[in-house]
Amino acid sequence: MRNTLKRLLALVPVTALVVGGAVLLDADSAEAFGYNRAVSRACGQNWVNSSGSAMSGSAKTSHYSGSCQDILWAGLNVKGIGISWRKGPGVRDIAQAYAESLADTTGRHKGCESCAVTLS
Amino acid sequence: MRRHAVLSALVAIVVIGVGGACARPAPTGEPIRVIEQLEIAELERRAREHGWTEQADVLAKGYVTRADYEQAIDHVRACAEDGGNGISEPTLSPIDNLTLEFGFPVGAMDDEVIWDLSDRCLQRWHSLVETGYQVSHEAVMDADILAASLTCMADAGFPMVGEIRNARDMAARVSPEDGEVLSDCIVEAAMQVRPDLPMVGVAW
Repeated sequence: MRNTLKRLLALVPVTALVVGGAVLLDADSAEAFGYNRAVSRACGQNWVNSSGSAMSGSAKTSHYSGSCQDILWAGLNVKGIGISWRKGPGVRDIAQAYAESLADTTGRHKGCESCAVTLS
Repeated sequence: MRRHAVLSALVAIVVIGVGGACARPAPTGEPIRVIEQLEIAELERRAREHGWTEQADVLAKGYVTRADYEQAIDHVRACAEDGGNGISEPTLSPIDNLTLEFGFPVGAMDDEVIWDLSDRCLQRWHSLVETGYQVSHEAVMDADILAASLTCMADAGFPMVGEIRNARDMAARVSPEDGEVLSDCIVEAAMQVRPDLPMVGVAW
């Protein structure tokens, strides 16, 4: 229930921008952790989430709604390792990457192997 | 006055009843769902659909060996080197003792170029074979990380019982909506017992 409420509240500013009909200038920067939201595909939605700072941060990609059955990817730019992706065998759950000492504060997400990358 | 009191009592009963119906039952610790994974035949079909022939041919055997998986990583390394880059030395994840984790060092190149290179190389040579390897073998989490993860979940209100060997076994015991609680617990546990880990990846 708590997570569901959190996700509903996070959708409010995005919905307001759409309803307003104005040019979609997102209130949150896509270049820093925290631009969390639902990302739509034809088969449903995934939730992209990032949090933390350059000292330690996390990127998560999780199933949100719909019938999509694809591997979820979560990526970070980690000092000393580089660009790193994490993905798992499940298709309707979650992939999370966490690291300490990051080269940037942008989470990267994919909802399937050939999907475009989403930033958070 | 008496009718008002009776009506108030009836309203209270309805409210309490509805509230009770909406309240989630306490977790039993037993599995409550099956975690969905793709069949290897489906992975093969997707590889062929994309024209990723080498991955498709591996998956056509119906089973992915460690040698197949390492070969896929070698292909990624060659792909990255063709792009003027490379990959870091793969290390075995203690979260499942299956996944070989590596990165694409950025160096002097532009970050976005490396992000694009990593995406292309992993799609073309590795992604579906890795998934096939993960579903061909049982994941086993390192015991100390597993124990710390279970403690974290119990503290979060999700005690777990039964045979539990990996993240998937734990995930089967929570609803999808609580998946983030579990992934956060596993990350926290891993960093607590292995503070030298530069990165932790969790997925099921």
